[in-house]
Amino acid sequence: MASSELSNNIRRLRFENGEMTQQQLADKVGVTRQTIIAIEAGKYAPSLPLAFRIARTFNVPIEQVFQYEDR
Amino acid sequence: MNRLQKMALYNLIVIAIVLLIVVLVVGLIYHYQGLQEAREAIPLAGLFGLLGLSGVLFRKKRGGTDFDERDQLILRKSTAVAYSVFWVAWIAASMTIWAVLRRRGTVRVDILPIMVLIGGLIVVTVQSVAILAQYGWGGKCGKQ
Repeated sequence: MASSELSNNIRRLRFENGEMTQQQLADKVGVTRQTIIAIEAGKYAPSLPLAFRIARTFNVPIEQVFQYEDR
Repeated sequence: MNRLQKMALYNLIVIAIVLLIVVLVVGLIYHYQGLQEAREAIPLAGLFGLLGLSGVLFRKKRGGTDFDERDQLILRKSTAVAYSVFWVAWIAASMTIWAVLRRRGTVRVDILPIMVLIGGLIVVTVQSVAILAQYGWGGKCGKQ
């Protein structure tokens, strides 16, 4: 479940979007705050639909939210 | 802690307490009165039925999300691990009985329900431990 190759900018994007809290983001994308915490910490790789929902919440392409490093 | 973690923790606490009570009572009766009387106390294991209350005690939240894709994945993985352990234990127990008693041996009729009970306890225990482990034992990642 942990994904060291997948990094993300969710924390930065939250602060750039009116200092959105983890709970607010969780409510918008329909998951629990625990899941947002796990994704931000790189401990959980979200499903594609959830990744798209997060990107759409910030109005950015998915590549700006998640980066995959080939190791 | 979310609902799944609370249910897992509740299950482990109930199993630990009931197991302690059953072992103590059966052990004491065996010590003072003998094996036959001790067997009469085994129905105390019915207290494991308290496990069924977890769904009532920890109800789903109205509105909002309290179970998402990550929780679903954790539950699925934990269940798979639990049934794998159960299967290995079940086969090992069956083979051990066979190896010990050989072809002409017989198993008392009250052993089967106890085996089923132990099997169920293995599933619930391993599943609960796996759930708590995957959430990080309620640590930083497990906080709600």
